[in-house]
Amino acid sequence: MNHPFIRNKNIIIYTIIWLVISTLFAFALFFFYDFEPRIAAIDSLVFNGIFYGLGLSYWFNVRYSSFEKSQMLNLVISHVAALVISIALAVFLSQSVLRRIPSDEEYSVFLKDSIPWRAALGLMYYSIIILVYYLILYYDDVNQKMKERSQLETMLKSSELEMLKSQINPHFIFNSLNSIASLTIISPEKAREMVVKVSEFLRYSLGKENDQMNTVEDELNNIILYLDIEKVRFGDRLAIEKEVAKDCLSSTLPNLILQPIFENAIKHGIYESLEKVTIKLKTWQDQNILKIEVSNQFDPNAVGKKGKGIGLKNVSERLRLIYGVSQLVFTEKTDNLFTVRLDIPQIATEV
Amino acid sequence: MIRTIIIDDESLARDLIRAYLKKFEDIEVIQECGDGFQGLKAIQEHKPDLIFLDIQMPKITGFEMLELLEEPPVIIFSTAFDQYAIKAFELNATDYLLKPYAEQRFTEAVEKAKQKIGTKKVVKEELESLQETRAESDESLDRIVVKTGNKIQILSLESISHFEAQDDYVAIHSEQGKFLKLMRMKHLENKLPTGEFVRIHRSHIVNVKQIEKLELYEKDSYLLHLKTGNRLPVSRSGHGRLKEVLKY
Repeated sequence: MNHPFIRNKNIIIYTIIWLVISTLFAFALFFFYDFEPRIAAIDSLVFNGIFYGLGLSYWFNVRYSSFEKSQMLNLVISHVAALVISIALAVFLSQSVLRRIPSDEEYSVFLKDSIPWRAALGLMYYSIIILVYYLILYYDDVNQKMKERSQLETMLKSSELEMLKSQINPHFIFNSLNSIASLTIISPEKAREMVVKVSEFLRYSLGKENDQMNTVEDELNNIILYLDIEKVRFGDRLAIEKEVAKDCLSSTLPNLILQPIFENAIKHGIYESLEKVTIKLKTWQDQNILKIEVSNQFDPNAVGKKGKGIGLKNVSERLRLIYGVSQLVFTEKTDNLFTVRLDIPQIATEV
Repeated sequence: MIRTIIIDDESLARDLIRAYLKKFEDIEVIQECGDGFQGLKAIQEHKPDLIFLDIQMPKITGFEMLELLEEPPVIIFSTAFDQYAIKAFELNATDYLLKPYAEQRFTEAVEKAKQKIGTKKVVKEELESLQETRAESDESLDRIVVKTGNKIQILSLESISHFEAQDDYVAIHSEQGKFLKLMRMKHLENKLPTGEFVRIHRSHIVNVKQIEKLELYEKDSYLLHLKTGNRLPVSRSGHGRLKEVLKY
């Protein structure tokens, strides 16, 4: 952080303020002590000039001493030390310079008598300058925080939006509806079945709040619905294998957290391949952690269309926000198999 | 008789088109295809008058398939959701059906298509303006499909070291070799991901990762060395862009 009095031409304002103070000071000497204007001016310039320089250096004391509670004593000590040193320096320097000005007896006496009030004035200068520095620091800090907050808010909004978008892919919805349109001609019974499935899927997906926790059973039922619908669209191209341990059916997980993972599996597996693709789902309980593994085959020769990894990143980010642990999503890629594993902590419910 | 091919990766979607087409006695479906490769082959083999084309398909998309056709037939696009494509359609005369669509809408599209059959010039112009609109959209390119003889190759952007303008064509220099494709440098420059490719000259776009060094060989004029050994001239404005991307 640069010096607040030097940045943005503030030095000009700082200098003007000191010139005003020096002028007032000189006038005071001239009017109340009846010194010649020359002596009054020199005295004022020397004394205030010293504080002009010292004032700039006080910044480092403010900047580099922290305001933490444990450091309070250090802070007080550093300020007292800086105060004593600067007053002593100012008094000593001004005395030694001003004594050399050719002048009358009266001024020499004045010079000696002035030491106490010069020290008092120094204390005042110090306090005011330090106060200004702290105000600037505080102001900068508030500004910085506001900036960060608005950034955070936009980030939150965009991630929420992405989440909403990733929950239900419009491509999926419209293609499913088109499949239904087709089925009404070929096989009205299947069309009815499909309408029910799509409706159930939508009801579950749209009816949930973002922060809701659901059981594995409910979430998996919804995923199975989703996969069933895709199976109607893709027929034999999609095969599903599932292995779900019974003891984890009542475990909980954030709602729809699996949806983007299966959408990815379908997208990179089925959408980009002409061959039959198998999607495997495996869940098991490992002590306090619910493990869910989803793998899909993909065509290793498929070029481009890598996807931007937003789906998985969102899942990972959501889990991090909910559980406060950053590494809960693991991925592995072999020749033609992509595997994602989620570790969902099961928070103990005992009181 | 109007000969048509249906290209869509979902069999139910193809079934629906086939069912809607039944009432048109003058239209004959000669083949159904489940992806762009098959579609391309079928079109070249049968030279149909009309095709129904989906966009999102495995291997290559409907648009990529069209880029490889020299004499496109009349096309009715049928697609579910693709923000860029739909925008492009809206700005052009090419007809499109948004899935799911009503039978009446389908019939209108077919009637319109029928009038266009035989007017090769109109078809080509419409398609070109559609491609142009797409080229100007924000949708970015992530691969390039090329054809040599009967072989189709999909080039990932990483495998491409640079592009070189050659009249109406662009020569693509990639790990798999050099390919010519009919396109414009300006559009290509627009579509390539910023930061990964830089246009260093009126006729050259390079992959940033393939840059080895920049050599000053005359006042204000530079020569760019690529890892592939190629040396390319850098224009003054190209140097400015290069500076911006490489941040030096």
